[in-house]
Amino acid sequence: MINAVQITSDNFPIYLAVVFSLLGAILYCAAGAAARRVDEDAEPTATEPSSVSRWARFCCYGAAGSFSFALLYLLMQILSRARYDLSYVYGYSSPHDETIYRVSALWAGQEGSMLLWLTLCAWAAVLIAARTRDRMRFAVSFYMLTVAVFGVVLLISDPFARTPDFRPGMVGSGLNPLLQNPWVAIHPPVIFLGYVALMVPIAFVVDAVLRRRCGEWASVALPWTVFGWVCLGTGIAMGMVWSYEVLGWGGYWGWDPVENASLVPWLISCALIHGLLVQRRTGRLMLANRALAVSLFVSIIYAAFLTRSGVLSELSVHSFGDGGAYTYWNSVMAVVVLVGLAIVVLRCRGGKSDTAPRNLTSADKLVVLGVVGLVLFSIAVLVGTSLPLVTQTVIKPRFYNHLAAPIALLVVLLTTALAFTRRRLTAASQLAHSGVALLLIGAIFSAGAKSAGVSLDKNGPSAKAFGYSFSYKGRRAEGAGREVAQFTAKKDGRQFDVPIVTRFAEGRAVRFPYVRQRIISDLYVAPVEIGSATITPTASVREEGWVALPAELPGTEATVTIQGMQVEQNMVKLKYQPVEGEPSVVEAFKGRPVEVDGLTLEVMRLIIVSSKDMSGVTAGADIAVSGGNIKETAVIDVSVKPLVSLVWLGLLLITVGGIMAAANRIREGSRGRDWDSTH
Amino acid sequence: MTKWATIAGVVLVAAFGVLGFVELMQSQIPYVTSVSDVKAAPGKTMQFMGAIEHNSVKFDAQDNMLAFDLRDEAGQKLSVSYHGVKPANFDSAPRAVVTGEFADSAFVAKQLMTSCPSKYQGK
Repeated sequence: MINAVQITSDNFPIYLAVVFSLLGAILYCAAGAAARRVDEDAEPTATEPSSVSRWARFCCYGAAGSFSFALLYLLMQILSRARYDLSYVYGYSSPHDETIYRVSALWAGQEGSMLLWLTLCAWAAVLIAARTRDRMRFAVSFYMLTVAVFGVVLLISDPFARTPDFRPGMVGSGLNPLLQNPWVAIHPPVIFLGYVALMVPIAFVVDAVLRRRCGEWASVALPWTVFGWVCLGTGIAMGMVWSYEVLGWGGYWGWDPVENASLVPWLISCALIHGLLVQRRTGRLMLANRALAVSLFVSIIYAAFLTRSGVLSELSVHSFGDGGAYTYWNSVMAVVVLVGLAIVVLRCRGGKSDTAPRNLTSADKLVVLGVVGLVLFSIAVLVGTSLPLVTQTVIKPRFYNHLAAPIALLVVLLTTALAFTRRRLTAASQLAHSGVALLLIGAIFSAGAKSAGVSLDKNGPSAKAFGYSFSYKGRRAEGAGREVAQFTAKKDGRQFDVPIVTRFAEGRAVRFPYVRQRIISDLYVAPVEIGSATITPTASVREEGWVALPAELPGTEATVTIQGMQVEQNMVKLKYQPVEGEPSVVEAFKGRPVEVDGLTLEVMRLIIVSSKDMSGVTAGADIAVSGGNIKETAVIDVSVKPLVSLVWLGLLLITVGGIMAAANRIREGSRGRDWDSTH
Repeated sequence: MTKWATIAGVVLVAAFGVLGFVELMQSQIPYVTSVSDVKAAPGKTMQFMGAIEHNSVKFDAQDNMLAFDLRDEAGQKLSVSYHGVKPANFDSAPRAVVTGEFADSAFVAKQLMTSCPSKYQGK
């Protein structure tokens, strides 16, 4: 069942944008059909725009304007720190977050990111119309139709929905601290930019099929494909840096379904770039490239479906909570696949190519083999990612690693072989290809990293791992909601600090790994457990009196018990049961340690959490206990990862080479080569 | 296309297809969502997802061993022990996915994962 949302003054622009997109799609289609009747066989010329064309363009700008308005409006609501009555603002931002993370809250959630994606799409439609000088009207029509179809998702899950049971004074709990990192803050817009550009080639294919000029689209689609490919690749790379430096998974790539979902379009677009280049040179591979452009589109929609419909995060059959959007995504997927198949299978008449078909040179054949390799691997990733949805099984990462190896070898061999042919690669292409080689070498070496757990006592003896000797110096609070656990590492007589940062949000701790990046190898220290001598009693504020709270102090031989607590302003009252004798009440203030029975209690942090369903307010505190016979221990997981630097260098070269190539292709297109070369 | 390129292509595709199929068969682990199914097949490697019972989490620093309970949708609990790094967002994650096998009375996890933080939805 689809629950359509009500039109409010907030979400009105979204309705307007969807209507504009749909009208634009229809009008562009009408204008395209009219133009096709006029110059069935004539050269496409820049004729006086008809009134239909003018209205079509008006709708195109209208959609882009309305989406932009809605997006900026949502951003203003987040920045204003006053509209926590909006569920999205409440869920992803707080008045305390730094400004850049309040901006990135705009795309941290489902609804906001969809709005951003569609805004970019709508502007891409404007750009397609402008760059093709309104001659490829079916392309604009198809693209705007896509925008309208996905715009409906925003009508189902409304970015401007109200916070349930909102009471004045309530504020949001802020962006997930793991997402408060510059890399991940800009990662979604970059990825979206890639998706937006990579959805364009299919629009040109549709246009070419409908206008019966089947060879024409290769040159026009190439700049979009290269640009989209480099954006998507850069976005994925940013996600890799983030997961390496922040998540503490210990790696930069985990063959996670969400990662795979974005890798498939990247691989296919890479194949399409190469296919289009061969098509431009030789006039061959036309059917293959059409199929690639369509698969690219389908893979992007599929990626969106996987990450947005909730199939992956739950992976269990029963847990599609928000049924409306899921059903809609499902039906859209089915239609997209069918339409895509139809486009490929439809015989393209008037299949004249840019140039008369020529035989493939040996360099071309190498490129074609590479394309085959990329397609094979993308199919493997797709199967590995999708199979769990059908069979209730899980695919181990070794599946991908074992299949990636031969393809990586093939790519390196082909690139090397290409150097022995007469084909001269551009500087951009050389950079990108050497980047791929470095990336693969780095990936192979760093995959073999081993890790070891190290357990340390505060100020106790040091412990060795991988030639480093580690010791633990204790924790200190650093401003609000931040704590640093200080370790030191010593190797070859040189000592350096290893700080492990913890951030607190919503009453929970998030710890970040420490990474010491060097050219030969990285030292990667992931926190396992730190400061086990912390007790975190919590209680509902509504309840009166002492709350029975047997919070045991860890690390003590005898059991010391906190029997209850009360939280008052800036202070925690604890009913403290020593090993012997009567319980006593201790008033612990923040930043002012108190001594009880030879132990020092210090309130590290007060937690006041208002639960989102408004059932009550929970208060608690993190209380550090030291002294006596309590040992403060920390456990870290240490690994030395060789040649991760090559992975980053490789990604950098691919990005730089890609940007150069995209700039070249875009310039080429702007000079009108799109057109000159077609006739 | 000349003969050698066609042959190379066909061989490549066929070899990769066979490799892919073999790997796929060997890399599949059953994904189980109910505790009774886990307990029904001791000693078999499988993956299980459940809600983390945060007040059950215990950590033994001496052995570097993490122990906690996961609850399935029917409310049944499964004790899990895990030797290794606790994911950074474990304490704030609503659910965890464990891969390993059921032995004696507890699930011995070789791998512990929490859902990606960007996938959390404000509810």
